[in-house]
Amino acid sequence: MKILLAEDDALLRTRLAADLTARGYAVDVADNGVDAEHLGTEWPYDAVVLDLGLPQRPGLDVLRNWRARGNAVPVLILTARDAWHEKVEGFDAGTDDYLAKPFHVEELLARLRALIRRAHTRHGGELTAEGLTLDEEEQSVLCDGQKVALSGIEFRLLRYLMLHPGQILSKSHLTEHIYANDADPDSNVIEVYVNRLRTKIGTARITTRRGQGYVFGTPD
Amino acid sequence: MRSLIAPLVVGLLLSLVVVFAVQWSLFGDLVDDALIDYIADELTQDSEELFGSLTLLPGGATALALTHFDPPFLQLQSGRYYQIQLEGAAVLRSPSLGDATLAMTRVSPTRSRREFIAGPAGQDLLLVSTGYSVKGHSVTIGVAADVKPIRAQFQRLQNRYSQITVIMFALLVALQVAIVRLSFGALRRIQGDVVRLERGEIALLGERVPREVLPLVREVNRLVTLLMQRLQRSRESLGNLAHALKTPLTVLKHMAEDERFQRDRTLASEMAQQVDLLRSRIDVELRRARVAGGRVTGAPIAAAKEIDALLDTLARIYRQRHLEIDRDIDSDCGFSGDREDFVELCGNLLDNACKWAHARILVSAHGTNALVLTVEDDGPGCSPELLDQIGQRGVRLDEATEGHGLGLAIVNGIAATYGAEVRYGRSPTLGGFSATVSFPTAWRPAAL
Repeated sequence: MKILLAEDDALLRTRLAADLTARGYAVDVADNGVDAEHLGTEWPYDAVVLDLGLPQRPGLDVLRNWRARGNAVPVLILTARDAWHEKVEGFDAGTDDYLAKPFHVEELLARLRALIRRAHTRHGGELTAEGLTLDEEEQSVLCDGQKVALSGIEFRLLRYLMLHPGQILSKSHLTEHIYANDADPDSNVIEVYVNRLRTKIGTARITTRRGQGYVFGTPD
Repeated sequence: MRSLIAPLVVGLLLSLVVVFAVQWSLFGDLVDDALIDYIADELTQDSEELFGSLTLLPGGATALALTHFDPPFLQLQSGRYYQIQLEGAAVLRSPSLGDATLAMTRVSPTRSRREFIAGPAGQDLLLVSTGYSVKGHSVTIGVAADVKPIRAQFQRLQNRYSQITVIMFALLVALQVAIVRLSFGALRRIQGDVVRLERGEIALLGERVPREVLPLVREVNRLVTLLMQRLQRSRESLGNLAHALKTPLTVLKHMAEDERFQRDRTLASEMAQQVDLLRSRIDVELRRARVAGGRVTGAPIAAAKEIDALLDTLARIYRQRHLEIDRDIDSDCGFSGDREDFVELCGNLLDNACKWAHARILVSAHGTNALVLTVEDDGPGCSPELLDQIGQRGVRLDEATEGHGLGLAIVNGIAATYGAEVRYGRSPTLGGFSATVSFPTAWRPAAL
């Protein structure tokens, strides 16, 4: 899961980025509206945490520009402005959720999780697919009645696969959604992690399509 | 209070009176003088004629050698007389005098004298006496004419003239009052505009007014614009302040949740408490300041449109709750006030309903002039004691806590500034909580 975090306050940005990374998200950051809009246009993020009071270009304009260009990335607005007319304006601009500052980090994480699930038309609760149940708190998976611990990258990879069952996912696509932009993973690192996952959850659950990528579960 | 119309009308009345009085008296005197001059001229000519035909006989007797007399001189008491005196004694009199004599005095030669005397049969005579000298003798010829008839005729003319003057005077006054009223009609129109401005029906005063009041109207418009800008600016700076304060608060809160702080739980919870306290204080002050608390100029806002936008937003916020929201809103429902206040009030009521409802919410708005807004839900509702508590006027925002209380305290605050009545109770149709806000037709902004 790759997240774009657009927040101009350096301290808050750093701390939130650390929290999100700890929860298994690949996080790109932007400290102004222009960069945020550019990143959001160029990269296929799974969700965006957008502060409204960004310098250079207000968050609402960034959001409106994305939506005008058909970019449907799930957006969670983070703002100190929580009057109702501002909320109406935010939702009108196309946000998916709205969180007023100051907030509990746990609340942000819960909302973000719900947002991503919703984008994959899944409703709350635990993430389950192909007989697997993912524990996002502990970053482990319940596989055939057994709890299996996952490394950070394994967790990110499996969560992404479980959210996109039956779809062909290329190695580069997976890299884009699992690593932050500043990470520069080896080209065959995905192959390594897919193999590690296969040893933990069984080979049958992930099939390889030569020259195309991987499919989790049975193809559509 | 000083009136503008009264001095105008009174001043006009006085000046007209003076003008007519002066004109009336001058007219009378001038015409009378001209008339008398004219008659006197005629009389002088008569006396010249008489002198020309006067013959002084030797021995002191006199005789007139007039061949032709004006008939009035012959007819008794005709009003036309002459009398010739030689050395102060009357020697010849016109036949019209009969036995009477003219009371005239001797006038030295080449001199002439004009006087009014009483004549026979109560006539008012104008007597012109001219002095001559004939062969060393002093002769005075007096010719008189009755001015009573001509003066009476003139008096009739003057009376007629006075009547016409009075009528014209009345007409002029009426006309002037009408003109003044018409001119001041523009002021009444401006007054009406000001009332509509206050009601929020128009944004600025109309500038199609007389040139003399245009500067005043422009000044008022400039003030209105300035006030609007100030309100906008102060709201913007408040928003900026909120933003500036809340981000560090988020960081502080975040720090309190940090592992390092968790080693000392008491410290962490105390810090979190202080952060929450700060946050609620900021919220309270911001919300209080954010309420415009006055009728902001501009057309009434369409209640239906704003509520629909809110319902759309709430549907997304509470999408997991699968609430069924019925709306019963008159399409012409308008709210004459600040849009943000209205949205904040409705937002809090609806949000409260969304939080507590089981499955159904009913929102209704009726009335074009006096808006009545009702939000009901099928949730657990409120106990009578709690209803008492939240229904109190002036529930202090900082006493209310997050949840039921804070939102409704905001509603109370906004309603109070608009003089609206808020009633909380149990919904008769849905069984849960019900809130009704009734706005008055004409309200005055309450003191903040």
